[in-house]
Amino acid sequence: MLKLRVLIFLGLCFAVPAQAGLFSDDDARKQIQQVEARVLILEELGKQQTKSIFDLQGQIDILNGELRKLRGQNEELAHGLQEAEKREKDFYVDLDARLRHFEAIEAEAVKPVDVVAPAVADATAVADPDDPAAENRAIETAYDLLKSGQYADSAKTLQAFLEKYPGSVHVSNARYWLGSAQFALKDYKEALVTYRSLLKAEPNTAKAPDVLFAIAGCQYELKAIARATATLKQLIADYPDSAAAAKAKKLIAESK
Amino acid sequence: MKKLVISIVLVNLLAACASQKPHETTAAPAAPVAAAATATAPATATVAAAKTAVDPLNDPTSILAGRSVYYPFDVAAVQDADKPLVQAHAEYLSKNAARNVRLEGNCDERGSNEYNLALGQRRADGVMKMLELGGAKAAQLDSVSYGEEKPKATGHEESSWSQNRRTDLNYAK
Amino acid sequence: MQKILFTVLGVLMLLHASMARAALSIEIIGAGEHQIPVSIVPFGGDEKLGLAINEVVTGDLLRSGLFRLVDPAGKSPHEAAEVHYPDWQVRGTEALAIGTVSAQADRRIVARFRMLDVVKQVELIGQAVSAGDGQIRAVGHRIADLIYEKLTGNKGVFSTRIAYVNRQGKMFSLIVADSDGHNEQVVLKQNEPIMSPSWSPDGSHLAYVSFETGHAAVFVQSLYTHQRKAVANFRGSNSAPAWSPDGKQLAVVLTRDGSSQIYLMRPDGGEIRRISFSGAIDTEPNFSPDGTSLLFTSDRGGSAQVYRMPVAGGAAQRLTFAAGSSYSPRHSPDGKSFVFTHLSGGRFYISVQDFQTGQMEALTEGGWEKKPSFAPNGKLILFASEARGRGILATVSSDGRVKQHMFTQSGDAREPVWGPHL
Repeated sequence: MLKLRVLIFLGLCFAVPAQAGLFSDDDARKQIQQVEARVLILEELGKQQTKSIFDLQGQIDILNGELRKLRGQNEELAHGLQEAEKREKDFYVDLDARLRHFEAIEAEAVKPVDVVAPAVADATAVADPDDPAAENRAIETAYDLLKSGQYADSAKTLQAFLEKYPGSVHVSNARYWLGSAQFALKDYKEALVTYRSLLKAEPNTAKAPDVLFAIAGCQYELKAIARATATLKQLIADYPDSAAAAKAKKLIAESK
Repeated sequence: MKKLVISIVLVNLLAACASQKPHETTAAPAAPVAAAATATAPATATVAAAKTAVDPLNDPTSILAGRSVYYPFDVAAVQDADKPLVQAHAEYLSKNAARNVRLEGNCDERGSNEYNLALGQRRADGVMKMLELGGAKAAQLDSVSYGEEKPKATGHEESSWSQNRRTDLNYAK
Repeated sequence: MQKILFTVLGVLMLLHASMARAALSIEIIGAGEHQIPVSIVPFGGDEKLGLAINEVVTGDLLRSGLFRLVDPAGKSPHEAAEVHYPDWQVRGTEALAIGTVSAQADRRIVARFRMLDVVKQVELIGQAVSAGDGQIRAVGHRIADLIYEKLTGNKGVFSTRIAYVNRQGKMFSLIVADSDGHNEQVVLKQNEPIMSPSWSPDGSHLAYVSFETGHAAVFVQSLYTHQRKAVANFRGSNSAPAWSPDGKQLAVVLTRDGSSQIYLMRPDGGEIRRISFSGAIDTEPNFSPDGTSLLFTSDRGGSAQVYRMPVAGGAAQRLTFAAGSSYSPRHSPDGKSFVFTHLSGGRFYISVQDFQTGQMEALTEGGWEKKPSFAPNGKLILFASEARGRGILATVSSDGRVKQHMFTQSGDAREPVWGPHL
């Protein structure tokens, strides 16, 4: 700015003598002052405008930032809602399973035992294979039957479950409980088949020691004493630290 | 009539102003105006030269001596405190069309290298846009980002980080 | 008989009691918790080569976290006939590696190697592994791969390579090395920064970012011919190259149209098209293994987070919601999860997140840890870390159990990325 003013001054210094014949020094000075004032005003105006534009740009930046933050909050809220809905559904499934448990007990208390079986069949018949709640209910029902000593019904329900939900996370438990039910029904051959299918499908299952122990039990009941002993020995060798192995050792020691 | 004369004078001066640039490459950056004036009005030249001999860009007391804009963490908008600096550079560039400046964005080391490269670019581009709004021509401006790749200070603490979160205005020589 | 029946039922009922509720939640099986005990006997023949192979094999196996090395102390069979199994059974080892190694007349190294199952007393592997002169480490890695694959059922990654950038003062080197950080080869050395190396799926090329033109530009370089080309060099920044799984496309991040956005192009730089349109920072794209979607980092929500979008275009979905910021996502090879850098409370963590459940898990204790990438078998993760004020390379097993710092010569190692199977 200073530069420009000097420039104007200098320019006029050399320009004025050349044009001396046209107007007086006073006139020229006045005009210079006027021009200078106008230039100053324009420059000031320009600066003001730049500052205003910068302020506007600053506001745009702030708004952009706010918009991003809001977008982020929106994403988080939507996510939180989705999570809450999922949790709510899980709660419902859990609650439903618990309620059904009590309803079953109530039904048992009221009705004679043999009427329960068709009811159970109904429950499995209406189960939708894509409904995890139905799947959970089915396995819960079967387990409750087993616990309450209704081995035949339990076995039936478990067999139906295994057919209906071959990919279920409960298949392992279902097989195991089916074996237990068949064992209790003294159907040792079937129990053996069930236990072996479990081991075949999941050789590394955590239940392996107990399954082996159960297999030995079946073999013993089927009078295959030597094989039962061999199974127990295999159990001790493969899972030396398991509780089942301890029991197996005790059994072998006692039978001697 | 008088108005016309003055207009002519102004035009002359503007022409002188515009044509002086090539002379500018002398070792001491003599003010372009002074050089132009010397040619036609030796008597006043010394006064003018004394007043404007230094390119304001090289005047350590000028606001233009500041060549860096600093930011808080993960922010790319020029802060209020630095706006007068950016404005002064915009004004300088608008009056010195032959000067070119490169905006170099930098970041602290928090965040991934790639994210910081992008953030540094956003910082440099933000300053570039303000210079343009302030009157600089797009052709005078260029922007790059070094992300966190060229830290000024290498410590793992805020005193280093705050120095690294910046855009440098690097004028072409 | 009565007693047995009683006992069996007793066991059953006990189990039922403990499983009653647990049975209906997810069953956690301790896969990977078990470390396989193995013994590696230093190979006979050329003793020096034998010890060198031993060091590589044991280092590889330990780093995987899946093996426990049982000291062969005192026993050194080199042939199957010399193995007395009970000696090894008492040590508790399950697999025994033995062999011989020699340098041939043409200086090729030939190792004859066997792995024996100590429990079943059978031979699991019998194979000759050979390599050129001076490639003793390659022989070791190959043997470690064979052992790993036989005992875990997963493909080994010890013979694969990694790439990273080494910074020493103002010098930057792009380096390709063995998976254990040894055998470094300099691909490019310059005094301008190098960033973001990315392997082509066939391991023949590296794409990376170099500042040699004064700003960030994307280069593609052949590792065989060393020919290189700037494939994206527009105004502003050109960065974050990522190869599509078929190697036919490169995702890059350009600022030529404003903010950092994701573009697709051919690896030779042709047919560029923009695929993200956010106005915010979108960067660090990474293709899903099936090539249909991209993970990327974006700050469109006010802080850097991981998003996913279809490659064909369409809305992006935010995936990370933990407090703090998330960066540098990369898919696991099976496409079921992704690993990323999580910045929280001033510390960087290497974390994984499952796509299906959305569950996030930090694999490291936090610190200065950045830029994770999976090994091609998905079992290990390589990342940049810091120790004693120096940038180093580190690995963590994908279950977070085993961590290891990796050797680099000097300077700061940064921007590591694990290469593909060759």
